[in-house]
Amino acid sequence: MSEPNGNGMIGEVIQASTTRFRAIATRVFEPPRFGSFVKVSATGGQTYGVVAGVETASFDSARRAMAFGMPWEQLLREQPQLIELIQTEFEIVVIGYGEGDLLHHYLPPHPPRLHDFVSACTPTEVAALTDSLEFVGTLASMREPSMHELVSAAIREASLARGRDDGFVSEAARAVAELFKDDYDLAMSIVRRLE
Amino acid sequence: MTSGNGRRRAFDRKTIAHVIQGSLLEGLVARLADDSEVEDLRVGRFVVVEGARNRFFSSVHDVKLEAANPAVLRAPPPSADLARSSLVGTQTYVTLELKPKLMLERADGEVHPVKTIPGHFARVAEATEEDVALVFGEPGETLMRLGSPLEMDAAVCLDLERFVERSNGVFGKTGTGKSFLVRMVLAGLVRSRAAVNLVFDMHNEYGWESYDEETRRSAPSLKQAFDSEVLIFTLDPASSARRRVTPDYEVHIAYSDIEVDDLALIRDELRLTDAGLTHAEALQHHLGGNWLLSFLDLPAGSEMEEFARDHNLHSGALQSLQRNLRRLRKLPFLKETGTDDSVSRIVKALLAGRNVVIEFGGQTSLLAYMLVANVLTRRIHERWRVEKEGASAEGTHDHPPQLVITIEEAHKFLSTDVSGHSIFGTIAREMRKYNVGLLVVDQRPSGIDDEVRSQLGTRIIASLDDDRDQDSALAGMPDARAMRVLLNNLEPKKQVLLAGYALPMPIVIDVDDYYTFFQGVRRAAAGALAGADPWAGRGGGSEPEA
Repeated sequence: MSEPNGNGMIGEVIQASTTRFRAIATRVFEPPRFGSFVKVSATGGQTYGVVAGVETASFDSARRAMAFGMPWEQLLREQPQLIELIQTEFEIVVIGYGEGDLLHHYLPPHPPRLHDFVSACTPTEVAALTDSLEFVGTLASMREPSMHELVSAAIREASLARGRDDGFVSEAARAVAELFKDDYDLAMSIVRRLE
Repeated sequence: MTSGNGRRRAFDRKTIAHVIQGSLLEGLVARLADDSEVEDLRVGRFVVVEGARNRFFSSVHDVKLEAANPAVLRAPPPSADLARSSLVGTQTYVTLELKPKLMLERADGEVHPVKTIPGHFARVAEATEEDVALVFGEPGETLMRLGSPLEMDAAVCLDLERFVERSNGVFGKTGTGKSFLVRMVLAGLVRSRAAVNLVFDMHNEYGWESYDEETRRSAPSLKQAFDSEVLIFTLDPASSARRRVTPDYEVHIAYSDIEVDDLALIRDELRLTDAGLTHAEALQHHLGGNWLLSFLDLPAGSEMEEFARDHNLHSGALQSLQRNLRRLRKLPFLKETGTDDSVSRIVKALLAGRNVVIEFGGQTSLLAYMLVANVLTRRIHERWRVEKEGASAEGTHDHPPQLVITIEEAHKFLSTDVSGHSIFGTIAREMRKYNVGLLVVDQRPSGIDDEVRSQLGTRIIASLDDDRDQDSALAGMPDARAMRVLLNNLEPKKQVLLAGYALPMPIVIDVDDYYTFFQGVRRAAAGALAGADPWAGRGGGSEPEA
């Protein structure tokens, strides 16, 4: 895969809908971290999201990767073309968008364009995105099987970006408890993942 | 209150909670604000609720832990702080129960009894000194500062003029500071001249100083503050001398002053039977005014039998009656000759607006106390009745002064069994018809007759252990059930629930320090603070008494 244009690009959008989009990572095996905050910048503004899943597989869905039974270094030496045949994809859940100076904590009017580039959010952007705890609700509303993992990972990532902000974590934990007041066990399983 | 300034201040108050439900009948439920700590909220605390048009004044009646989801209760989070703190205010929360009693209509700035409740989410805030003053008034001639609301420094005042319009009760178990409280109230009455006082001082506390076991110093009393405005009468001059008290007069009571009803009151102490009392009535009928002495002097034996025969009485019953009545002989203040001095002296002093404390000295038996209190009070009451009726008939303004009679161990006089015989029962029932009221001091309010109890206008209630006493102390008051909670949560010392006629709303207070209070009263009485707060002395700290 060729080097992408611009700085800090970590992927390219290959599938997009209002609530989520998929991107192929610029380098195989180098996707953004699960739960981290990413953005797609376009002329109209930015679409922000959280990495909700990563998958590495063969390009060609008809040809699955096979087992070679040798250490990775040896494999690269003997079958260097292999690396060109696999790709890393990641999925992003949309949590908001930016318009000029404005930051909205809800879904954008349009999904990102295909082939736009994905980059990681700066700590400043993460702080702005997570000053409001709306993102917790947005992620929770996705109701995917590993949602509790996604929510807790996003909170941990946000805390890291904010410089290990304990106050933020406890506020987020309260938001989780509030959000899942009907499902105490779920709330606690998320909160436990924050400690 | 409607000024911009007042409004700004209203917003400065710390928000404690928000109203979430309620009714006029059951009171309000408010959810504690997340930044308030439940343990900071004491039951009985005075708070305000800011409605849209009214400010409601209330006490905290209960504090409750609630959970939005029962699952939390089944599996409380482990000790990890984050899990616990995440639940506080989200899945678990605290509610307060409030019973608003009064409301300030912002439009007219006046305080009224509650007729409505504030809407959803009305702010519950800390009360300010200004609120307390609005409800309880500022200390003045007849508004006496007794203490401050819990966790606040503001004056809660007793309206002495209203106080003396009814009979009142001070209840509390031993050691709650009851007698100090009574002394404060009495000092207030003397100082404000809202009433003249007659105090039956069983334990020698209200006249001159007494020893305070807690502070281990001698606590000054009425005579020290008011000097000649207070007269001490003693039943036991020897005891007075031992305590270095110079009484103004000795009390003597003549046998002829004792009536059968007086004996009925102390029948347990004298072990009198029903038959004995019936015979005493017959004796009074046959022998006239001096029946008791004549009967005591009647030699037992043949003369007694003859007497019984002549008057159609049972000689056995007479003999046992005489035996039992001989106990009276041991009371040194009972005199054979009919001297009316004591009673008329006391009446004269009281009519002249001077206060009388009757010290019992070593005569602390209930027999002595009840006999003297009843005999004297009956005569004094009679005199008040005559004066009052005379004044009313002539249409003059020369009514006898309002008289407050203080009795201790009141349940002995006012129990259901004897209150019919006791003049105190009569006074309590007839209310203020003749300008005489009682200040009933007792540690067992449950022993007091229901009917009498329900006539008590204002109650000052310190800690009581017994359930029945707690119920009785509040019986006949509106919202007694709700106030029970307040009573249950009183500190064992120096905290009282004030409720009833002389208070705009019930409130729990921390009673002011007695010594500081007394210093202020004393200074004011000495004229050192002419024109200043008559209950001043606070803030200056308490200097030890010389």
